[in-house]
Formats: sequence, structure tokens, C-alpha cells
Amino acid sequence: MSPLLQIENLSLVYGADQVVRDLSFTIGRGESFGLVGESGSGKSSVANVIIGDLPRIASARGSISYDGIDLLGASREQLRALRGRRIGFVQQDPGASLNPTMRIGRQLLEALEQSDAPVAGRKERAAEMLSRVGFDNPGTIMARYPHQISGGQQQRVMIAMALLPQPDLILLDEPTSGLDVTVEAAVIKLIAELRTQFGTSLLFISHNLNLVAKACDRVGVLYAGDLVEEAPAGSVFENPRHPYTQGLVKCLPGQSAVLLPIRGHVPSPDERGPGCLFASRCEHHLAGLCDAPFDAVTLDRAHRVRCTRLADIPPFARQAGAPEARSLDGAPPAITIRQLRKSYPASGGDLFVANDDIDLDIRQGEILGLVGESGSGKSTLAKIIAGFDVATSGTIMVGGTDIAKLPVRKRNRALLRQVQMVFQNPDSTLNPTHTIGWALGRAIRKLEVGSGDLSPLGTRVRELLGLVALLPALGSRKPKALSGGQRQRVAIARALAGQPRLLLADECVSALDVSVQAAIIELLQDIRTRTGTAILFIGHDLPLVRQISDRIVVLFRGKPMEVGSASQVYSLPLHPYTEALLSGQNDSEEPKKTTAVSSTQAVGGCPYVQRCGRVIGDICRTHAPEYQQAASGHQIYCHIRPEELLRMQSQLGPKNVA
Amino acid sequence: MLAFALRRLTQLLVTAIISSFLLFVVTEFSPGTVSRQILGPYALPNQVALLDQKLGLSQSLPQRYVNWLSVLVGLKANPLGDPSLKLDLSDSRGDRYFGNFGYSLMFKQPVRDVLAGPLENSALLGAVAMAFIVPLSLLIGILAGANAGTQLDRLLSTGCLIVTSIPEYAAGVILLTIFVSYLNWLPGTSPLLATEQWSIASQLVLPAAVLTLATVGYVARIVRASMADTMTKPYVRTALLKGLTKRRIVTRHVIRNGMIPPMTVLLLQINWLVGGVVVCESIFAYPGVGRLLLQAGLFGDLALVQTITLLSLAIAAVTQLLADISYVALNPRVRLT
Repeated sequence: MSPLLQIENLSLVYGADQVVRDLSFTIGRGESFGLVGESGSGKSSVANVIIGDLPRIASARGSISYDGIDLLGASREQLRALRGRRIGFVQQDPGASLNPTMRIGRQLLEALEQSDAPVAGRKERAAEMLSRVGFDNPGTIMARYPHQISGGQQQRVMIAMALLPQPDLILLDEPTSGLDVTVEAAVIKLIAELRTQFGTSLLFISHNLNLVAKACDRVGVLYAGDLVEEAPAGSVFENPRHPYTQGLVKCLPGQSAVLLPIRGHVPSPDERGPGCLFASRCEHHLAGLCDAPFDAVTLDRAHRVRCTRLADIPPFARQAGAPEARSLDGAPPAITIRQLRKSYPASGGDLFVANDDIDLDIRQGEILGLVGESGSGKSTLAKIIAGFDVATSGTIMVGGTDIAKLPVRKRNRALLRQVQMVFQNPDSTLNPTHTIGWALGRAIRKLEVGSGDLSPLGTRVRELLGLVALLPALGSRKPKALSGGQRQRVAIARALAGQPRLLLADECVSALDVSVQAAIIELLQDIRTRTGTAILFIGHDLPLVRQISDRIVVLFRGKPMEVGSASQVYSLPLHPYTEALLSGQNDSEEPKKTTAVSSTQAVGGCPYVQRCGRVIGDICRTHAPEYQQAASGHQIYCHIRPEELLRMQSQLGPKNVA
Repeated sequence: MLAFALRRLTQLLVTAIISSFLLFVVTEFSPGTVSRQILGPYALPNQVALLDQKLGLSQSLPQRYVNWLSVLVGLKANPLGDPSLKLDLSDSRGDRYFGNFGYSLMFKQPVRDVLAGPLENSALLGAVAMAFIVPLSLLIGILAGANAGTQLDRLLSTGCLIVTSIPEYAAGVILLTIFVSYLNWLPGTSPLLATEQWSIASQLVLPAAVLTLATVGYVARIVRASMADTMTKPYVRTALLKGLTKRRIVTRHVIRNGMIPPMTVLLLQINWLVGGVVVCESIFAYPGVGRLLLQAGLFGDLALVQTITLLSLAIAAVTQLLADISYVALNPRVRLT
């Protein structure tokens, strides 16, 4: 039987830029194929060329055959007939992919419009599909507008919409980017379930190797438009053969003890030669051999590698073990947070508590990881420390000054330089009209006060660039001439200009590619060691936070549930919430808004009681727990004794009641 | 929704009071008082002062504003209507009634009587012009925006740009030259008096055409920009990926979302059409509010200028209220606020 989708020698050119080169792969019926690549690898373009929706300047060569139909040669009308009905598509960012002014029911029914389904039963079919993707109340959902449901629910609706006309193939383009970790896990689970239920073939496109390996049978790794390796999902982690894939796995937090970033950068289209595109970053590179065109090597039936020196590439060796932890128990605190509380007025005269009596020390030279699902108050805490918001009550002491209620406008220079922030998205934090040198120079002028340092500004700018491992020549460039990773380095350099006591890093690597992310993590650790700056690292990627942090705080509804060293919290999670978070079983999908309302009604009991699987009785609902000391520096906010929690975990296994 | 409408209505009232006060201040500060105007340039200063006294013009500014407002809502009689002044001004409605805008010194009649006819004429012209502006600009804007970047878009956009950049007076003269001088198909002036040769309808054609030309290009470009922007939204791509035809994508997903921003601009045009069409009405001697405003301004007829401006303010406030309500109606995301 011929495969459902067969791509052969596909080349895609945008104007003069080669986006995809000589790509071949197949997807069998009922099979799921994952395409992984970093930004600019051309992975989305592959989906777009299959569905026939390319920018005007694009031209494609090669062949794409779908169930015997030549997609590249198909007419517009033929392609339109295939879309939806035969080939479904789930885009990223479900919030933007649903029409905000149309009810969900109507948008779902549109998906059936082109099909031969009888008109009479369509509504019922749509409702049935909604219940199959996990909605208990399809009727209510269909009557809603997209903004009235949560992000996870929106993506379920999008998946239901793609499934409705019963296509043979669904293309998923980054279906979980922009979703919360816990929601992401639920969506991946749903996709995996549906595949077995419906037997639909999938092309799953993502930058996240972990996710793809979880949801797919086979995985293709795309680098700069080349499919460098194609292998069964398991082998990609166990036995990656291409130097790029090996490098990629070493960058993944949780895969090895130390993150090893891939040096160099993805070649821009005009730097690309006829040979291996990874050559410039490859340690096995041999001039002459690697720079000439070559074909992919097949190891066995399912494993193909595009490397001409494959025989000389050593098998993948991982450094096992946990990341090295540093103990800083003796270090004096850089900032001290006491009884910090932030509440916002909510509907109906209620209060929404974003930060609930937080007591926390961040020690000098320490990297403190802050984890929790979205809405847990992580960013609120960072905002208050940075001065973008003020606390309702409580104190934050920085060197003798309480900054809890001091907005950033009212802070003097000395205070401003003590606390600096690195933002999530480096693309939008640098002014595009000024050079990097100008931006850094300004930060130095604004933040450096009477340090007696009379060295000229240019020297200081070069020093800062050196601190974040950038070439001094970059100072004269504008942000758009830099890569995402370089821009984030500049943002970090800017924050370091005043030699801060505390650096706030709010999701500062989540917009970056994995290989770049690893390098930034390495940089932050290095800076901490060299300058003694404390770092509050806020993140949603748990293995990543573990990798970088010395200590970790798990936040739930504004309250720290568990505090301890990275190894304590990750190897021995005690609190039921930490346990659920780490096992990835935390199904936090509640309808939007009600989350906020119910969190306001903390009736005096434990905030986690509604989702806790280990409730021991009424005491959990009526009495707020005390912090218990589980070990030195390891605290949990729970009524149950640590020993008891351990016994429960070993007896019952992880269990969670939503 | 009710709370929203009530809140907007309150805001409207506050806006009306503040803007009417500003308007009053500006016109009161214009050179030449009412007394000087009545008594003529050769009156002695003490005579002027005496009349000021009688008319209450020597009082403080806020006091005068309150007087003016009291006359407007019918709490006080207009001092100008006092027979002892022998100004020969009288009002058939009595001296106290709601909506008393005072007397026009130019016409020696109550402002209401002076304004009634021109207002009706302007409304007629505005309505006829809107009847063309709305469908034309939407059609052009949607066609161009839905096909952004194509030959058709470039053609329509350039056309709109050219039409927008022709000033009203130039458009008026060009149309007059073609349709009146050469072809003699239409009348050159539009006094709205039916003659044997030219019906009222034929007199409306040229003024309405000038207004349409002046507005369509601008509004169409705004609609186009909004439509083109909407076309790039992910949900439009979702519709494409469902296999919908382009026509359905545009009619179902693009138009409603794309109409949200241009709605305000479209409604603003009503404002201009009723109160601000000075040039066009002058060219065609059209007996509308714009021409009246010009006359009143030249003569220095304060009450008339004030009333017309106040009217424009009122229309502006009401059309913006309509714009807000239509915004809420088009966009379910703001329905609850």
C-alpha cells in the first residue's frame, strides 16, 4: 500500500532564499510523523506547501503526492476541495485562530460545510466531536464566543474542528506553543488519544523535541531546511546519529547533567553552500568532504541520516546524573521578602489574591527558581520587586530600604541599579532605531553612579559586551541585525550595567530556540559566579528551572507550597501540588474566570484543597496549614507530615483529583 | 448593556455642557459686542455700556453663560426681545421656551426660524451624499482590502488617493465645467427652487457628487487598510484551511471584523456633512447650514454662529455615541463592559 503522503526532493525557494532543500519523507496511513526544527528551519513552510498556502514569492520544486494526487500541480480549486475535508490543519495560537466575532458552534459547523454530511445531523456531529475532545457540555461551548473559554479549551475546539470532516491527514503546526505547560500536556495527551481513536495520520511540527517524541511514531529533524535525520521516535533520544541531533539532545534540560549549547549560529540563506549546512558548527567537520553535495545515508529501514562522515561520528554518549547543586545556606540575603501580599479587586466585591503572605529570602549569588502554573502569581511577584506594581501589604528589604510599595518611578538611582530585569521577548525590549552600543551606553549612564570609574563609555560598553560573550563590533549594529539569542544577551548586558544585587529573569529564555536557550542558561550561571548577582529565575519549563536553580520555590495561587534546594524539590517532591506538577498529571483546565473567582474564596483552608488528591479531612478545608520543616532548608505548606506524605506516595502512586 | 448605554449617555451630557461652555467663551471673546453691533459704529461708549447693562453683558463670564443657558432651556426671557429696547425683535413661540437660541441680528428673526430651512436642506444634501458614500466606500474598500497587493487593489487605492487629493472647490469647478458649461445636462446653481428647466432632484446632483468625491476616497482607504489587516489574521487563515471559498471567507470572517475600526470614521462624516459643508454650498449657492454659517460669520451674528456650532457639537456627540454602540454590537468581546 502506498503511503498517504509522499514528499520527494522538495525544494522551496522564497525569492532568492532557499528555505527547504531536497526534502523527502513519507507518512503512512494512520502514522504520525514529527518534524522538529529551530526557528528558521523551514518547518512551517513544509506544512504550508502541503496545504498549498504559500506567499506569492515562493516557488516549490520536487513532488508532493497525497493519496495519488500531485499537490504541487493541483489547481486552486482542487486544493480548496482537499483543505479541511481531506487534510486538516491546526495552527498555533488558538486564541488568534478563532474568529472573535463568531460563536464557536457556527465556526465548527463551517468545517462541515464542504463535506457530504447530511445537513440535518451536522449540529449533533459537532456536539459529539466536542464531547470526544473532552468537553462535558458541548451545547454551552457551542453558544460561546472564543474569548469566553480558556486557551486550552480553544485549542481543543481547533482540534475538534480539524477532526470534524474526518480528514485522513492532520497537520499540526506548533499546536501547543503559547499554552501553559499543564495545558500543553493535556493537549498532547488528547492528540495521542485521538490518533488511536480515529486512525488519522498526523504531521506534528514543533520546536520541542520532547513533545514530538511523545506524540509521534517517527521524527524528522530539520536544520536550515535540510532533513538531517529521520528516525523512530525512541531512537532520537537514545541513539541520535547526526551531530546536530546529538547537539540538540545535549541542549535539552533533563536529558543530561550539564547543558551543552551548540556553538555558532544557523547559516543565513546567503551563507549556505551546496554541502552540509551544519558544517560551520560541527566538530567533525572536514573541509572539502563536508562542503560538497551528498546524499542521506540509511542506517536501517527507518533510520536515515544526512551526514557524509557518518561512519566517523561517535555514538551518542550522555552525561548521566543530576545537575550539580550549590549550597549557599551561609550567604547573606540579597533581598528579604516578608508577609508580601498583593490583591486585586475582582467582580462581586471579592478580592483576587495574586500573592498571599510570601516570606522569602534570595541570597547573594544564588539562583532561585520560581515555578508554578500561569496565574500562580510568579510574574506579579517579579513586577512588585521590579517596581512595576506595588504590594498591598508586606515588605521587601533591599539593603535597608523597603521597596514593596515603591513604584519604579519613585526609586532613586542607587535603588534602581540594585534590581534589574530581563524580559521574556528580546525582540521587543530593544529599541529598533538605536544601536546596541547606544542602548548599553545609556544604561551605563543611567545606572552607574559615582563609581569613580572614569574609563570612557565606549570601554565600558565593550566590557559589558564581553561579559555576555558578544563581539565588541556588535556595538555598532542595530537590534534587527542580531539573532534572538544575541539580543537576549544584549538585554542581559543592559541589566548588568549597574552591577545589580538582584536580576529578575521572567521567562527570559522561553522565546528562544533550545540550542540558544542552553547557551543563555550557561551565561546566567557564569555571570552569577563572576559577579555575585542573585538571580530570580521564573519559568514554566520544569527541567530547565531545575537545571539552572540552586533553590526552588513552587508557587500556587500566590502561596509558596514547597521551598527547597533544587535536588530536594525535584528528587523528593513532598507537597501534593509539586508531586502533580512534576508528574505532569496536573490537569488545571478549569474554565476561564472561575479560576480567579474560586481563588478569591480561599475560605480559610489550604488553597490547593480543591485539586488535592491527598485531602485528609475537613481540616484541609477549614484551617490554613503551617509550614513544616521536612529537611534542612526544605519546607512544605501542608497539614500532612512529610513522612506521611512519603508513605502515601509510595503506597498509592501519584493520584490527582481535579 | 443598559448600564453601558446609561454611562455613555451621562458622558454625552457632560461633554455637551463642557463643550457648550468652551464654545460660549470663544464666541464671547470675539471682537465686537452685541451692543456695539446693534448701536452701530458711531455710538458713544457710554451708550454701549448702557445697553450692555440692560442686556446683562456687563456681568461676569460665568454669569453670562448661566444667563445664556437659562434662555436656552426656557427659564429666562431673552433680554433682546424686550419691547422697550425697540429692536423690533419678537418670537411667535413666546419669550420662554425650551430650545430658545436667541435672535439672529442679521435676519431680525429668532434663530430657530432662520435655521429651520437651511438645516432641512443640509440634512437632505447630507442624506443623499451618505447614500452614495457608504455603499461606494465600503465596496471599494472591501474589494481593495480583500485583494490587497493585487493589480485591482493598486488601481482602486491609487484612484482613491487621487480623488481624495482633489479639493472640494476644484472638484466643484471641474464638474461645473463638464456638466454645466459643456454638456448643459445639469444646473449650475442649486437654490432648491424648482424651475421649469431644472427639478429639485437635478439641482442636488452636483453638490452631492462633490461631497461624495471628497469623502469616498478617504473612507475607502480607511476601510481598505482595516480589511487588508483583517485578511492577515490567523482566523482568516483558519477559514481558508477549512476549505471555504474566498467569497465566503470575506463575507463571513473579514467584513464584520474589519468594519469595527472604520465605523467611527464613517459616522464622523455625518457630522461634517450637516454642519461643515461651507465650500461646496457656497459654490453651488446651496441654501444650507454651511452657507448660512459663512454669512453669519461675516456679519458677526453671534447667536447664529453659536447655534450652528452648538448643533455641530450635538451631532458630533450623537454620532460618536452611535459609533460606540455599533462598536459594541460588532464586537462581542466588549459586550460585557
